[in-house]
Amino acid sequence: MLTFIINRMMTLAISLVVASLVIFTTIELIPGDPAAFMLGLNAEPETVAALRQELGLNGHPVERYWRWVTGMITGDFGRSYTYQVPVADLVMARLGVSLPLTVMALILTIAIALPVGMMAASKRNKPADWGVMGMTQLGIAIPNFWFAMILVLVFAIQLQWFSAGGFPGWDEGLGAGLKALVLPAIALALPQASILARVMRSAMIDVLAQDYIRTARAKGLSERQVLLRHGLRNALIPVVTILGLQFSFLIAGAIIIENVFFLPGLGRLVFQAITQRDLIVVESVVMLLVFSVIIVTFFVDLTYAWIDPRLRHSRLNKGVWS
Amino acid sequence: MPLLSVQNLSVSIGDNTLVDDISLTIDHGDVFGLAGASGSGKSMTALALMGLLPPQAICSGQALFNGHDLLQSSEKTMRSLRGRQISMIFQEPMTALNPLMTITDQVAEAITIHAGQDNNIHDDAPDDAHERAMALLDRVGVVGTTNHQHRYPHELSGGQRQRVMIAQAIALKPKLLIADEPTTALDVTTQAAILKLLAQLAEEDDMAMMLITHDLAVLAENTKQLAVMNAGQIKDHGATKTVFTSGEFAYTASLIKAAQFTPIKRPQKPRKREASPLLAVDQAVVTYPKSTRPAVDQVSFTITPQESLGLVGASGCGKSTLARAILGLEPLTSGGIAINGDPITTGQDIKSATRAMMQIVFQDPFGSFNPRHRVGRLITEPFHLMPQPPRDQNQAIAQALMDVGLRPDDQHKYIHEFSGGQRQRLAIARALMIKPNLIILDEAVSALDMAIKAQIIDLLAELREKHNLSYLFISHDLSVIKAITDRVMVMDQGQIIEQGDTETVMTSPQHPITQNLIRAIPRLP
Repeated sequence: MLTFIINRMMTLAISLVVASLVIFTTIELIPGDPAAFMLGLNAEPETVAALRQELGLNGHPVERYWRWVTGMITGDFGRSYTYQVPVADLVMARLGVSLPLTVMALILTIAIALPVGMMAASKRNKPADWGVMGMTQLGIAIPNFWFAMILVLVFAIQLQWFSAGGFPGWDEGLGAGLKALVLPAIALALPQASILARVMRSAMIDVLAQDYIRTARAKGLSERQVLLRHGLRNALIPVVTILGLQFSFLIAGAIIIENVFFLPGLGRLVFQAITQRDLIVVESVVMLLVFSVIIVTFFVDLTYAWIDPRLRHSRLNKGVWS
Repeated sequence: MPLLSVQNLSVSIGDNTLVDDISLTIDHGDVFGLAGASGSGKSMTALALMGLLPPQAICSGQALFNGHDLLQSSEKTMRSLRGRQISMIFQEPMTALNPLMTITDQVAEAITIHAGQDNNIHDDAPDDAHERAMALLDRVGVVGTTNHQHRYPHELSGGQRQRVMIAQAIALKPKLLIADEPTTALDVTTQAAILKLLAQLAEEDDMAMMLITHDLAVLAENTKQLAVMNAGQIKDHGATKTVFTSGEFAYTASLIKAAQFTPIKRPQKPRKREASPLLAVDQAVVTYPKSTRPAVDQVSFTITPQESLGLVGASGCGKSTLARAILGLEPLTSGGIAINGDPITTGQDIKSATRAMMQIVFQDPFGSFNPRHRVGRLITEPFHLMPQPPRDQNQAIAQALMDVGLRPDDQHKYIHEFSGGQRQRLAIARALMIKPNLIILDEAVSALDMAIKAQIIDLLAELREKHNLSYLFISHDLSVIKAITDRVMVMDQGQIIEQGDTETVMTSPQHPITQNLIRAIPRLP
């Protein structure tokens, strides 16, 4: 197990270095002057020169890359050009909205998808299964910003249970903060939960056809015990793979949903930064997102090993004849 | 009153009648045998008694067990009977255990789920289910006992896994154990050990057993009462001895005849051993990374043209690794292998002309064909090894299919449309396509029923004559080896421990391991 973790950590470190190099190269080394780009077409040469100085664009690329990476490690992400505050502060504040939103959507996705998928698998080819398959098809087909608007129309405008958008801040209390995130989290989770429920269903159907399920039934386990004790964990292996991939979709989806609900999150920050050509912010936020996706992948790998003992003590296994 | 009394049991799925009006009784503590070819309805009978038939199956009749009608009882009653009063073990030891649970947990589960019910357990048994599970694993002979709390199924061999299955099944001292082909997937020595264990447990716990298998010899040696099924019906039924020896039971007699197969014609030409060998294996060693002892250890032998060489040994002895090395799929650690004088290397280095001299037929013909391609395409796959594939592929396909006893039209079908025996014929057809010199048959007939096995062996003998083939025939089934090989090698722990003429080795084995192997073969009376 320890070798497995060390192995994965190495992969993680290498992925981070490669990702930072790619981001740095695309933003800083491609033709065109970032300072001129940020200031737009009508900028005075002196202003551009001053900004170049301020951004530290005059050094050698290797040195600048080093400064950027070491800066990030110590928490210094540079200063935002448009907001004139340290990017770190800006990102931290926005993270306070985006992180709870993503986590909430993730929890909703899992909480909806796993039971629904399991139920559909155990009632295969019966009305309940058809219902689930139909609903999830719809859930995947509906664009989530449109679904978000429907949610606003029904729950905010008609029923007035939630506010239509905006975020009161965590100072208003935990309840108020969470309440503002409910509709966005639902809108964000719907398509992902639909996909995951289908994955869960087919994984469970595969597992239920296995010999050890028949063994479990022969022991005298009830259908429910068979599903929960022997089915669920085995079916989770493909589900966790998809869930890991979905995390990045949730982050990307947040950019649109945060704009629909006027939430001051990372998504809106990066969206505004792009329109305002604030490359420092874009660079940092993208790196942060990449970092979080890589970390999630790391945890997905650990989860595999936790679920499947065969991976824990995996030796060189040469397939063909088992 | 008998323990189990089955009256007029029928099972059907759709228009298919799988079990057709059968009746049988099993007394307390009796060992009852249920025989028949695959698809004869044996397993369906067992599943019907367990109440584990697929949901679309319809069953009728009566099966009285201890006052319950197993066919009419509610799911709740059946659940309390399963694992407690009636247990079942299955054929596939490799897949019948949950891969994510430790073996101790799985055995303990069989105890805990029936907690609170009348559990048939002696008062002196330890209360803790885990301790009891470990004691059970001890009792069935799972080795490495002290340490197996944390062992998972993948760390155990097939025989050891089957012992875990048995431990689960007997945990609550059931009155009836249904064993469905419990040893079919195991080699002869392991089979003998497992059958001995089952008999001993049945004796000690006064447990009745229903032993289901297609292997008549196993039943002849282990059962008192016997029923032989065919096409869902019981053809012959009675005391085992009578059924086998009285000669009044026509269907059983025909099965026995099929079991004692000898190929129609063996090539009688005296073989010149001094002729230059087709395959020469010289001091071959294969060591897997991180493994302490070599999987193949200093193995040397030759196969001359048209010779059929057998390779036997318990599972895990290195047979398949050796076959992989010969095919160039496994790099040699040291030593050398050459076919027709051309050295065999691994990967891209091997010349396709060299590769075209060898073909392989696997045990599982279904798993080794792509189910989405038609037969015509499947069996012409080896053509890419030829510098110039034949112009008229249709002619070649038709010829190969006719060679193995199928029809030329069969090339338009998919693999699922064939029976197990036909699929194995297709695998042979695929191997024959490019006229190889050597065919390696890795347990090629082990999954087949007696009658079909005999047909395939006849076919192989015939093809060998016709196409001047050499065979390397890998099997744990000595009767098959006896029928088809000229010489035989016995492998153990990576080494060849004995080799010689098949006849000589079979009749006067020298090495103790060979002697054990031959002694373990079940025999018909």
